[in-house]
Amino acid sequence: MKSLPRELMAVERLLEQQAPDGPSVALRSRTLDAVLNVLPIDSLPEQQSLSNDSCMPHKLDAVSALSLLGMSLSLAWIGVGWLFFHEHPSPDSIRPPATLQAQARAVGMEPGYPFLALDVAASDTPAARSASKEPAPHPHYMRTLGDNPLPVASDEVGVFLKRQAPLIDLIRYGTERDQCRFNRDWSRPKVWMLVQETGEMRELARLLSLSARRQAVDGHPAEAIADVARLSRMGEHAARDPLGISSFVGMAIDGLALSTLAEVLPKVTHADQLNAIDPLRLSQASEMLSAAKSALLFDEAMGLTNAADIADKRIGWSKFYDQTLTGSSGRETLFGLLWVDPFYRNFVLRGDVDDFRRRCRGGIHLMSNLFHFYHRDPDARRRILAESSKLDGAGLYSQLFMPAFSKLNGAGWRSEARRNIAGVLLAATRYRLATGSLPESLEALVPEYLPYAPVDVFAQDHALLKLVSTDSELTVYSIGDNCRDDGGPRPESEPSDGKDDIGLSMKR
Amino acid sequence: MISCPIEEDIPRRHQVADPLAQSLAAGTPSAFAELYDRFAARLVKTARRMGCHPAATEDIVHDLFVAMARSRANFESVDNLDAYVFTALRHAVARHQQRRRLEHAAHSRAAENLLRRDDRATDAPPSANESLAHALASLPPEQREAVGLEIDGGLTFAEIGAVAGISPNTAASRYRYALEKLRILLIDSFVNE
Repeated sequence: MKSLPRELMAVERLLEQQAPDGPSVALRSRTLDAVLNVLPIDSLPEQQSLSNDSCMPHKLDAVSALSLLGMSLSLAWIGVGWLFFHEHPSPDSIRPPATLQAQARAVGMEPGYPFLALDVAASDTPAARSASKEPAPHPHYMRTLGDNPLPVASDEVGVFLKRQAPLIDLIRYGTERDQCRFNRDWSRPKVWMLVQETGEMRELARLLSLSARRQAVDGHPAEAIADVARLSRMGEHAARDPLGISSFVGMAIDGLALSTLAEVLPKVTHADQLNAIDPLRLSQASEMLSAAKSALLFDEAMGLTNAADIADKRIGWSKFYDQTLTGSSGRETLFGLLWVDPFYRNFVLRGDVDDFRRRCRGGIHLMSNLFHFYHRDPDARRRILAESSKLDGAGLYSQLFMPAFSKLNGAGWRSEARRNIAGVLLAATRYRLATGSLPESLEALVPEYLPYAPVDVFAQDHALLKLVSTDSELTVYSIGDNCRDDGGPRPESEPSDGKDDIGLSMKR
Repeated sequence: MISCPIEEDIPRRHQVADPLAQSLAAGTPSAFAELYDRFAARLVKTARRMGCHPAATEDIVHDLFVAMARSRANFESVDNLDAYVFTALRHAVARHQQRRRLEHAAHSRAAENLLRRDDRATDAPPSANESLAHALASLPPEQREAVGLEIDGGLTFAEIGAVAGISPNTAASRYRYALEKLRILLIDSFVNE
């Protein structure tokens, strides 16, 4: 305890009030990265110990011996195919890569969603239902952010956005941050662990998109464009979490940003209003791709961690589905207790893990090295992707846990195509602002508004993206993965019928 | 004199070995993340209050954490983590300021002269923040250090004593003298306005 005269306490209070600024956000990751470089590699966290004495039993224990009794049943149930693996990995070779928990602790959007959820709950009152005359569980919410929303310019949307203004500001604040990661226990990764958060981020992205479109309608295109840029960053944030699902959600939010951009651009009246969008950044899908590569590595690590848990008898095959895929505690069954787990551990796991690793290596190689190598040969790319996605003869483990290499790769290409298309729309808007009309061809934009006419990443022979200009709108599209021109993107309300053109339309 | 009962001043948590220190000695990365979260903001603020340039402060703290990671074995014998970390900061700041003094003594004098001329040229009175910064800058380094460690570092006088190698009563005296001098300087600045 210290007793100070009042006048000195006033000075003390002044010093406390005028405290110097704290460290920048970036200092944390910079410092901890440097610290990790200094620490010995053995001390990295979450290394699953697969030492000889803790897992991968070399001798049969009593329960394992009993499992031999059930072998004939197991052969019928599991299938003889998995016993054909011949090159078993040593325990050390299935050591999963370390994940740095320290880097996964930043919190970004997490506080935001409850606001939206509260609004949903608040609007889901009996009074609201009777007033809206709709039996839907969340009438207000569904009519503003749902599949068949009200017109952006409607009063109801305005009221909704006004009520959500604090949340929208919070989302904007969140997108300004360096990164946005949810605080999860990455030392025990599970497939389901980010499903909720990524779902919530998509809802928040829809809200920000709605706000951007409303601002454009209300005559504030610069603010709308700034929100589009934030939406794009939100997509990058979502994609940076180290799971395949995060990459998919990131690309989906990125796609939403680009379609919002297409809707907002016709309202732009001056080139300065486009300042928030960086054309160079827009034309680069590399952020999404590098995030996807990290996600694939983590998916592999997660699979290996689970394999280590099985090997270490921490989880059993009989509880595996519940614990790993659904997140519930799982119930041990008599069937599993007796013989399935020991049998799988002793006779199948090594071969399964070997198969899983081999396939993961191939998939990551495909994503890392071949992505740009096959940039100009979509046919070869399609062939390789189809080959890599086959799981013929794959082990049970690979069948369950194989990361979605092929789908993620395809999503990456679609994301690149969409960004190229958005880049053309942006350039076309600058053209409109300079000349008073939209361009009739891609060539009209080069070189003043675009450094080069972008090729369609799905088309053979360096064919360019298609540009179709009508009286009402300008559409730019790619022929998509089926390599066939289906006449442009179909409206969302229509069935696909095998048509997969990817495009964006901008009203005149 | 400020009454400073040492027993009360030392938090109980420091009377047993901090488990974090053991994890740090073992080189556990998550322990260093926890160390950062516990200390970084206080360290940066304290270093800034001790007169380091804001731009240099983050480098000092960054290097400090790296140095502590390199010599992590020292954590094994640490009982009071706060005192250990702030002692390390004090040394780092002293080294930094010594280097700066040697390198830029001449430049500083020239810049100071320029600033004085600029001060005379401007009619606007200094803000409260500027007045406080000027007043702090005019304190002797050891008093400024006591203010930084107490206000921004959140250390007790016993801990300040351990950090600076002085008795807790001396630490308390330095702090009080600093406040008195600041009060006089601040009153002067308001009167001169």
